[in-house]
Amino acid sequence: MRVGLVGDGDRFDALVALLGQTNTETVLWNYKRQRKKDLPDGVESVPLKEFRDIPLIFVSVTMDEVRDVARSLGDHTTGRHAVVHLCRNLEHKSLKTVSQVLHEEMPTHRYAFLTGPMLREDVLKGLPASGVCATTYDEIMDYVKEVLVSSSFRLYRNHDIRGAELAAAYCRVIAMAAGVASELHLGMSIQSTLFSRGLAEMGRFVAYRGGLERTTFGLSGCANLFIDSAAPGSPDFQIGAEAMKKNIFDHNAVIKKFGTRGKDMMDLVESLAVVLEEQKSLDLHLLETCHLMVSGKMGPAEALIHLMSLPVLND
Amino acid sequence: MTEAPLFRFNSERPYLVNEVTRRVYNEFLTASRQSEANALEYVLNETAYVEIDRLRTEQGPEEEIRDRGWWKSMARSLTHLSEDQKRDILRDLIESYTDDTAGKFDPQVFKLATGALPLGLSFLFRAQDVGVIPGVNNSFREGIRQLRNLGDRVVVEGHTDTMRKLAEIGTLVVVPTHSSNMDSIVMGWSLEHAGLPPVTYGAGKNLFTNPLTSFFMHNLGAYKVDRRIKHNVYKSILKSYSQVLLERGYHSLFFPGGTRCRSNIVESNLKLGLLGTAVSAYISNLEKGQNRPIFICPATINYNLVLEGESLIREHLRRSGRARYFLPDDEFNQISTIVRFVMNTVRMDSTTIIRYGQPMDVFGNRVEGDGESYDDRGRRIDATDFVRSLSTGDIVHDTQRDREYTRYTGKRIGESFVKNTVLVSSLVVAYALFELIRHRYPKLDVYQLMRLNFDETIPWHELRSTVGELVSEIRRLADLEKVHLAPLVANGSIDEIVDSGISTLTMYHVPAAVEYVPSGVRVNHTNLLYFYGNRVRTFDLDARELVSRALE
Repeated sequence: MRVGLVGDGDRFDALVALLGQTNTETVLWNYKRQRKKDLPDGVESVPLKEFRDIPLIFVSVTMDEVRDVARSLGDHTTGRHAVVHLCRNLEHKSLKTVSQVLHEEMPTHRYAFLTGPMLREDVLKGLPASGVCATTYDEIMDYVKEVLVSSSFRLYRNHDIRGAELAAAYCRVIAMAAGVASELHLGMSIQSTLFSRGLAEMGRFVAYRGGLERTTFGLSGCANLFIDSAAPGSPDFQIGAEAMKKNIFDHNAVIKKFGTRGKDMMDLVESLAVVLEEQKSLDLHLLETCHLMVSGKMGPAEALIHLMSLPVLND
Repeated sequence: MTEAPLFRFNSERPYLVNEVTRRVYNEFLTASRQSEANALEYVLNETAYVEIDRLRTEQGPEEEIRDRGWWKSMARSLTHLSEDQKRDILRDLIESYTDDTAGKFDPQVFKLATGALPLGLSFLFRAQDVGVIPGVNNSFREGIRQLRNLGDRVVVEGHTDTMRKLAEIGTLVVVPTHSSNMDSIVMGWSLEHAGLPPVTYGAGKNLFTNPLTSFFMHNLGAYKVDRRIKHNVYKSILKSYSQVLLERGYHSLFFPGGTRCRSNIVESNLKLGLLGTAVSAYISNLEKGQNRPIFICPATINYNLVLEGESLIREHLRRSGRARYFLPDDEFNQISTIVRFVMNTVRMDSTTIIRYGQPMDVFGNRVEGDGESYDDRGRRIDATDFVRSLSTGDIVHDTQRDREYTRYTGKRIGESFVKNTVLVSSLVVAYALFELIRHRYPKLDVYQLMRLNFDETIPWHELRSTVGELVSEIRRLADLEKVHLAPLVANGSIDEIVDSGISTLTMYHVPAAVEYVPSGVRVNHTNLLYFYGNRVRTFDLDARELVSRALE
């Protein structure tokens, strides 16, 4: 089997390694025109037009790139193609999921979202990992299973692609809050609280935006949050920790240190904040606090005090 | 027009019945061989159980395929029957149901119904009935004259040019909104008026037994759908019949809302069963080497007044559990009400606007007059690629995939319904009046407002001001192509819109939904105002804000 690849980053590297473990033939569209030495080993770079004959394409790009990449792919793909993306974000301002954006830009209707605890470091070492393929199309799930599942990688299915995309994106906000708390060295109790309440909040958000609440408690929500918040933590976790060190959310410093990932995170928080106004009864306290931090209205230390002083809520 | 597939229906009817019988029989036989749970004994027993239960409470005047005694006797004998005997029973049953379902098409009746008598509605009248009907406008002769010109008052607009071209290339599946039993007749007339071929369609069995409509139903290509029958054998027959018709190139019409919309809000929760047969038929034809496309053509039927408005909204408000498909004594079963409706509404400048939306392929992609599909970015795409297997590239049926496609197409149809809704003055005024009443009683919910038996008068200045605010909002939506407006609502002055809306709302219902009084408009029927205003509520306007602004 031959699959097409577009993208870069940690999850992309993990994906390439997993495909390597099943000896799947992979070709890459080098949309960023990276130097050959920067491309993954063993992956052939081909012109985009060759993707016309490759029915399964994996995409792992930043949110800013999704629409343009999809539009280019759309010029060379058909209704037969299936696109599996790994992007844990929502479109800025519109809050559209990545699969919605892909659908708008490409002719095919067949999409999937691959996510879960598949850390680059673990996968490259051949350690066990797992993922969930969220899609409404069983044939995509079957195909993805063929090319990814090995003795060290388990794959789960979920038909709630919308819920999975929303949960995986929301995790990143909770992870940032966990990063703030970690830097204060306040012990595991507060981390556990953030994990648990973060999941509950995520569930409400997912249901409000049209996903299934229970998806939150699967690999796209719970498992991603666990791995994002565990030391050394995801880049989002580290962004929170970095902000806490200076007790101020300095946008320039975040971008300087974390690059596009930092900007991506701040855009995500800004975009999600729309929901705070839209539906106040959702009680998205962690998101609200993160938004206050990112918008500079509250320092990280103050934010934590704010969270601890909230009235008693139902668990 | 003589080339329209429906004109060959009668000669193909035996083939259609045989083919559907063969397919459904094979489907159940194959399933029985694959799993013990699907054994013929269980299938027949389940079918009998459902029918015995139904016939205990529903023994209407309609002729039943088998009576309750037969079902009981068959169920009792099942354990003693051989497999061959069970197969024979199943096959006979399927054949009987299919034969009962399949319609008839009489070209002479079609010519008469669409040519000589606009809308065919004159068939609904018998001279001896009209003279004794209370509530009919006195000027009967004038009414009849206007009735003959009714065609001028029904506006057909939208993508009819595209549809005419597509009818030459492939098979049309017209999917309109549904709010009245008049819809199938009105749609049939509008297609003919727009130079489009006649369609076959599934009509409720009550329409075949209703003396007003049975003549049309039995002769204009309709097939019978008995929504009271719930067993799987019957459901398979209906789907298979629809699929075979589409495979054979018969232009068809489904009401994807399934039943008349009780609330009058533009339907969004669509039933996808029959729509799914379009995908299956398309794939089956491709497998046979016939690339005859199937085009989905959404349409909205926009009435100034709805014949069954009162009972529909009553049912909507009363409904707490499952939908009832059949209103036992609604206005459509009362000749006098229909006559009153027609005679009193023919005086309007336009009675109905039928708007055809952008056609799409069976996967929800936009289709242009060349028959080609286009994606959201305007790229021309090959529709056959959508049914190719991801792994092999072969054209295949894939039940799960095709269900997803149908779900998506249903979503696009729902979007088209909203976008192609045409707001007329009666809807706009009804919305404004109801929201003004709601503003007066902010602590009452909708149901409490309906139950109130009050005498409420809305001053003219409040009504004009609220309609003014509302019209500004919906004109803005129209500019964004999110809705369409009738010419008067799009270009008329507020006074003209108010006058037209009030005049329409006083026309048919007894007592009238509203009436003129010197100080303003007296409201008699809040439920009717709610019903008509619901069409506007589809667009999620902030009514409270709108009324507050108007009354400032």
